Amino acid sequence: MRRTLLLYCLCLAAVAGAADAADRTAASLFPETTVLYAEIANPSDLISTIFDHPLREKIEAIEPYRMATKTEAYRAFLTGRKFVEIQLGMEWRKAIESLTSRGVYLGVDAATQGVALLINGKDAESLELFRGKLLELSKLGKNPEQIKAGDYRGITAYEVNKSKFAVVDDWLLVTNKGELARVLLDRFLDGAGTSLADNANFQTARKSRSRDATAWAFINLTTLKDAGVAPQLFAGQSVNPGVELLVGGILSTLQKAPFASAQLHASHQGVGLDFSMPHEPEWVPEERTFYFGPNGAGRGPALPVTENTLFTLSTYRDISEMWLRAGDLFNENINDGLAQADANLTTFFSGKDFGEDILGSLTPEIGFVAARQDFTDTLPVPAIKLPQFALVFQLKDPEKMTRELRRTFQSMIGFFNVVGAMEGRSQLEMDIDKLDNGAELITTVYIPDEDDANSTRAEILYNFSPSVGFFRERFVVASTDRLARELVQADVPVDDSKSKNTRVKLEGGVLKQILNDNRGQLVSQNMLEDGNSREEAEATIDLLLEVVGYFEKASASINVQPDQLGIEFGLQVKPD
Amino acid sequence: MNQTIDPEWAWSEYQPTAETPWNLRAAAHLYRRAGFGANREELTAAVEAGAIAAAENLLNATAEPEDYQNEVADLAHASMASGNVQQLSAWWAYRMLSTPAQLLEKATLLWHGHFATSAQKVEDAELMFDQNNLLRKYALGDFAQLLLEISRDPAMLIYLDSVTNRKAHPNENYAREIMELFCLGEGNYTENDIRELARCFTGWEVKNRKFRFNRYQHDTKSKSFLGRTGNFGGEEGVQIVVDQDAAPQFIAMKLVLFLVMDEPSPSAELLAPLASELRENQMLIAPTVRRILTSNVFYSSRAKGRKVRSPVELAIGFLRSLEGSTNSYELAEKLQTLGQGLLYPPSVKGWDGGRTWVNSSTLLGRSNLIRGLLDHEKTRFGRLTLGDYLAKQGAESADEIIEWFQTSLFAVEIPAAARDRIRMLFGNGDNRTEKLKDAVHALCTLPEFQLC
Repeated sequence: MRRTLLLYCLCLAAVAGAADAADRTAASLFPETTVLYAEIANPSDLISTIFDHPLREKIEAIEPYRMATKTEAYRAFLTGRKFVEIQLGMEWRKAIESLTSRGVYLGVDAATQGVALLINGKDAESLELFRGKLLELSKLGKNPEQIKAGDYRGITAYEVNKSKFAVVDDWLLVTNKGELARVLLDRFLDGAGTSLADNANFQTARKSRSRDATAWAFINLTTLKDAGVAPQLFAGQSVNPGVELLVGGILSTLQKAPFASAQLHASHQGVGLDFSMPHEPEWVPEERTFYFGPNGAGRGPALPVTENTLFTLSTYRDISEMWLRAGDLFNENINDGLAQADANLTTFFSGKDFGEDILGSLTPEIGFVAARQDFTDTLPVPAIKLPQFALVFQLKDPEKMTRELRRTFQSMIGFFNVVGAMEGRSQLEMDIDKLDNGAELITTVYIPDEDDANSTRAEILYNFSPSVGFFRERFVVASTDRLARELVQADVPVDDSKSKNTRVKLEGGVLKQILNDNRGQLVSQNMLEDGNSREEAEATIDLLLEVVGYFEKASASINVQPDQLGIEFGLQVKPD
Repeated sequence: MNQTIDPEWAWSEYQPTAETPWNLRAAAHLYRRAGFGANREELTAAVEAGAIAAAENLLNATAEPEDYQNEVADLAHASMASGNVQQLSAWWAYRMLSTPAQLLEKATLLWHGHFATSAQKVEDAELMFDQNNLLRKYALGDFAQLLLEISRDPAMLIYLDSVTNRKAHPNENYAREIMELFCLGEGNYTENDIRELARCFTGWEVKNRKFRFNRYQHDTKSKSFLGRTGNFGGEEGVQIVVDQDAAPQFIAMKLVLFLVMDEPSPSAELLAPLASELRENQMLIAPTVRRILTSNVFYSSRAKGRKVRSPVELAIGFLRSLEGSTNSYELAEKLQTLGQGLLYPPSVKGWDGGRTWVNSSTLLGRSNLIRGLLDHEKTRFGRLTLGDYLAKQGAESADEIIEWFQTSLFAVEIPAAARDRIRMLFGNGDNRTEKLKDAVHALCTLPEFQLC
């Protein structure tokens, strides 16, 4: 009875093993010690997205592209590609699609410090054909004797220039370490040892993988940290206030998170790259509350909508808190600098404590807006036409602070005028305007010299007319009076992004318009920088404008959810 | 040695002889001195035209086409848009590389060194640009007018700390420089002349980056200097200086040193005919330049290879001879590193020139400059690679290339031993491009290449 039972169990195990062999996944082949895993599950879709994209024809029609295809290097590449196609008996794209039809997988193993590429082909026959052709091609190289063949548990493995490769059924294995090759082949043959698929973190990360992701990656942060890789990145410290404001909170999460994952979505509409990692509010140290807000609930504000907006940034950052906690966040040198700045700014703000009273008067919801300037009815017109920009704040106590900030702005303009006069620069003329909606504007404008008054290539200075605006809680500090005026009157849309700590957006169409406004300047700079003739420079800049014109918008955001921190990047292109 | 030069022979019109033939090398000599360098097509045209006509052509080509003027004006404004003077330096380098009026540009460089004004102190791109245009406007024109205009030039007055000049405390800075450095030379004036001339300039000020005459600060009393007495203003003061006999002699010396030879310093006898020419032409510069460029001495061994290439002549000459183009910003920076930053002369005396251009440190820098140009991704020759350009010129073998450089870029013979050494650097097969660059670099670092 016992023998019968044992036999039954062995048969069951054998059947189970055979099933495993049939359902091999890359994750089940890579060892559990894999620190980085990346996959492109359907390479033919990616190839199609790139090579069948409507923009491809347009880019190919551009003169510099056509010029590039006439170079010797490109011709040599085409000849080489044709040769390979003849050897394989099929067109290169079909060959790649066949070779990689069921996915390309990359793994970096911490235990063996090896890198391996697993390619899952259409079937064993086509992969065998590919292997044979690959060997033939290698033999045509400079040192055919460098190809070595060996046997490992009945599988023939090859070594070329320190790279090892082998074909098992419909899988092609390429690695740089023999030890890793053996681990992988053992997994192929009998599933010995634990695999990456058995890793709990991997399993958790895997659940968030979108079905339509073009590529997906997993990083075992715990292993990386234990191995001492990039210690500064995982130390949780930032090097200066700028970096702290930008990624301080992310550094805290990186310090604690056991893993991270990333996924790429590519389509004809654009490309999106999303990173995510586990996040728990208690991982955020007290000194970094300024970044995520209490309980991680800080959200960037909805921003007033303006015309010709180029760029927007909406974020939650309690700058006052960061300023006051600087002693816990930065090293002595930076703190000395901040102390100096604090003393100067406190003087500048008439003895008000800069960190506590001035920054503290603002809520942590901050916006930044940049927009194209319209110089149609304006003189003088600067030679370099910069976008106008503004910071949009919310005042905690507008009644108290409006008066204070108005006076400080007036002092600041007076200071600029004194310094400007010493340096022979134009002076700022100030004006105060009350709008119908109750908003108040303090605007300035540079008064040009008589010679410059009608200039259409005036100094860069004439891009600016520093102004501030107040409307209820809204406080706008703008580089131009026009933008300040627009922003204090503009409506704020309903915010539909509940989890965004930070959002940035860049409009491709407006960027192209701004570059176009500066076309003459760009052409001139190109002539001086590249030694080009005017015709060549114009062709180069027009190409740049054309390429920029293909982009619809770019965006990035930091999303904070109760258990996850996500960073998303997106780039949208115009469909036609 | 100059004592042996007969002035009459020296300034007589050049007649080609077997010893000093008019050929491609002679034409290249003309272009190196009266410009920066010429490509083979220009040299061939010059040979066909004849020596005198070739010089005339350079003198006549001083009016740049309107399109070109508009283009370089646009470029200048683009450079100045950011207010960075360094960018204007790059603009001038680009202008030197591209102008069809080489002699005008070379003469502008001469007067920039003569009326030295550095952007380092002026710190105003627009004022430096205005001065540069002023120098170009009169570069081959009326020296007296140029002297007067430069005396009222805001950049100059800022540079010489002469933005104020009140009658109670006349500012002697400019009065001293105009006599010592700009017009007469040492020994041709007294300290009293300086004091009295400074009184003429009282009331000349710079306000809000513009020249202004403040009549309330002008000393209206009588002044006596350089043998003249009267109630002179600044304009009369400048005219009295330029009317001195020493003035044409001084300017003639400048022209000879710049166009003919670094040393020995030309004697008064040798300069006398040129000084007379200047005076007879009411201090117009072009006729004297014409006489120099069409003279026997200019094409003699007294002149050929008797000057050391300045960094500008080295770099711009190299590029122009090969129809080269490159990144002007980096070129301008490299020129500054080698001591000849455009718009950045080292002092009010300008550049010393001559042998001072070459020492162990600058030789290495000059070598690196050429290598940098050859290796720079933006450098092209006739819009081609160096190899393709030379091939198009019919110079493909090592000997052909060496000979091509000898004719177009060398003022003196390349020694046989050096030719052998460089021949070894050329190669076929792998890395031919790099080997060609190595060989050309080696050619351009020869001591003979430092002469022009």
